[in-house]
Amino acid sequence: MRMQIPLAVCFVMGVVMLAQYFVPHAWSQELNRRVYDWMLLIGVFALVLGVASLVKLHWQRAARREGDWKYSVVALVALFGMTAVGVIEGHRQPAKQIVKSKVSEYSAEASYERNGLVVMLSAGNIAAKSILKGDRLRLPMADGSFSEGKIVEKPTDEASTEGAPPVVRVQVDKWRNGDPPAQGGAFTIRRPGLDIFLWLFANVQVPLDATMFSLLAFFIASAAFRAFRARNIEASLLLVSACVVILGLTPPFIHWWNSAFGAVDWLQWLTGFPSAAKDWVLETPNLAARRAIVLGVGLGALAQSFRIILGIERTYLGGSE
Amino acid sequence: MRSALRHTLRWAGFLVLFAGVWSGAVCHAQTVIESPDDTAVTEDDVQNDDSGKDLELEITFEEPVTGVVDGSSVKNVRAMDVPNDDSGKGLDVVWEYEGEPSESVVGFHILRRANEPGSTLEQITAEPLPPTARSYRDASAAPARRDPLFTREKAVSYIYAVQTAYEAGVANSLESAPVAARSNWFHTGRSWLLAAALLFCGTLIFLTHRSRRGDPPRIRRIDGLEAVEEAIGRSTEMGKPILYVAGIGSVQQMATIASINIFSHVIKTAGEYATRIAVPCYDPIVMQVMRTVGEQTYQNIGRPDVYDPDSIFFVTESQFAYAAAVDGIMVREKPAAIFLQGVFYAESLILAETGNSIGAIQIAGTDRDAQLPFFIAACDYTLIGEELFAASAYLSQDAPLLSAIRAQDIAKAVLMVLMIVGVVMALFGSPDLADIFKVEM
Repeated sequence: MRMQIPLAVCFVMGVVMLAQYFVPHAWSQELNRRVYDWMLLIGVFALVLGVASLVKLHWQRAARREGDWKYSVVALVALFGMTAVGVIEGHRQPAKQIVKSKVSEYSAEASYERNGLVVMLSAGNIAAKSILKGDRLRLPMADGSFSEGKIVEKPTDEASTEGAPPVVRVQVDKWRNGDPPAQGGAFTIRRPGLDIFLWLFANVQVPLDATMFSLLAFFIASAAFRAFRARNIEASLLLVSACVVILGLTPPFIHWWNSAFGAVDWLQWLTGFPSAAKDWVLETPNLAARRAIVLGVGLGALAQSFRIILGIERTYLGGSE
Repeated sequence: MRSALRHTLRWAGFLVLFAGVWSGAVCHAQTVIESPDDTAVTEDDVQNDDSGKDLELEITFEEPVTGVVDGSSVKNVRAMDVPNDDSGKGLDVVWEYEGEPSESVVGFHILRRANEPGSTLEQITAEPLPPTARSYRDASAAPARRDPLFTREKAVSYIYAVQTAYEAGVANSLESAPVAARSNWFHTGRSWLLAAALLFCGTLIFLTHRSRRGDPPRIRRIDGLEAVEEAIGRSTEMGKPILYVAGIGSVQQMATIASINIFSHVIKTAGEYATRIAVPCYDPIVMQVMRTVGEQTYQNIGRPDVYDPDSIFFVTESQFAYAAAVDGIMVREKPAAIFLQGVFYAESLILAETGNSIGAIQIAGTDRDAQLPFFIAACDYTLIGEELFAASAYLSQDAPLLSAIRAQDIAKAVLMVLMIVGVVMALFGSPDLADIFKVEM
């Protein structure tokens, strides 16, 4: 029973979702959307289990002072610290479009109309809910400077003409650098205070990610060194192909080649050869091999799908017993 | 019970084969109907045909109201539902223009009215369509979405006319037949795909049934999978753990499921040898599934006491943070065997090179063709593409599973033949085979 119920669920859902792909009807699209929502819900609950597993693992390691337990402390502090900042600052976060102290994302297609201290802001992705009372509205002055005002009332969405970008009405307390023009294009909404969550993300997580990613360059070099040893015919072919592609992608070499052969009349036909050779390697033998792999992957995935739907493959349930 | 299952499978195989052939026939019928020379479809044709709605739709198209009014050279105005949608794309309007080239046509406007008594034609195009235009898609004819179900309201039936704008004035064409946008129950653009899938499924069921009667297929030796036992044995002998990395894919991805299948075999062997295994997970759902697999496998081998659920743990859903964590585990715990199986992106080489640097035996496998060169360069064995999906069958040597691989090979052979035929046809200037088997994704 423990095996049969999951197999039955798998079969029914597999067939239904397979059929769904061939049915463009509104009801079918609705079913697809609902299943996707369920998947998201399951994902959220699974995340709770995942975080619980992470905390348990590191807590035990730190409590027992196992080897490298200090890393576990760092992991726990980072996890709880970021969560705390996110929860505390969470109410300020829906304004993801708002760019602090720099030119707003609205600038490209934005416009405004000012009537005293009331300003109608218009932009493709603007919404009153993303602007908070207390945010600063910054409008450009004719001389290139800015005039800023503190938003003193809760912004409201205004009716806009069909096809035009949405409009939000805001009111500021005063203009701190004189009255800006009555209408204009770009505007900025700035949120005062330090956004710790974004600061941590931009100054801790992003650089750490970039550090890991940059290791790839060195790993490619070390892997290439091993892979390109001409031990047999296949490896030699690989080495030659790699040299052709590398040289064909190296601008100084291409420049030198074209200059050298371009200067000799009877060798001019060789100009452009490195790029052409590189293109040929990438687009002919390489692409053919990749397509063969992709074809095999497609058929393999299809076969596995049917094996699972039909209950032939049960390994993912822990075996066939 | 077994006999009933066998009979059911046999009949299911035949049914699916039949459905595949039938579906192919529908594709063929549709190709014939849609060709420009086959416009003279009669109502009798439709009534006697079992392919139903698609053809009825064609009948609607082929009831033109022709003629020229007030000097308009536009004739044969037809409105039709946009096929293969949930009615959200609206209606297509097509027309023919038979005016003299010397006529100074500025452009065309589309006029529309609801199919109700007393309604009048209204212009729905703000700017005139260019004089070369012969069709127009009216997205505004799509019925509105109905919240919260996101289905559609009942569609309004519309009648269209085309207004020709001359420099001297305008002239309206005759009206089209009324038509309403509709939700379609079958995506005709995917008929060939359905036919192929059903034929493949039928072949698979047939071969599975045959293998159960005692005709197990043999498949070629795959070095990467032969080395699984060796890698686990090496870990056992060295008293070091095994590291199993299931990639950064979600559980919906086939490569991740294939990885879970391989994991089932790895953890079974590791459990039999009582070798420690560490499984850092990127996706919490994958973690949960792998825990279930691990628990069930240890129960199956009769050693539930040895199973440690904490050996399968969640790390993070951030790509490079995950790579850093796994690299850290490799460097600190120095596993003797590392399995990199599943979906990998830029972190593939970071993981594989770190594993290589600690001297572990590495068996990798992924369906991402862009990452395969990295694995081939840095790992001892690599499962290339389809080998990843064949791994479960290969490791278990289960006849029904192996028969799926034979079905896969048959499909591959058919595709190869089609490719050769396509190349030959293209060389001799025949219609492109890809156009005949066209599939709208």
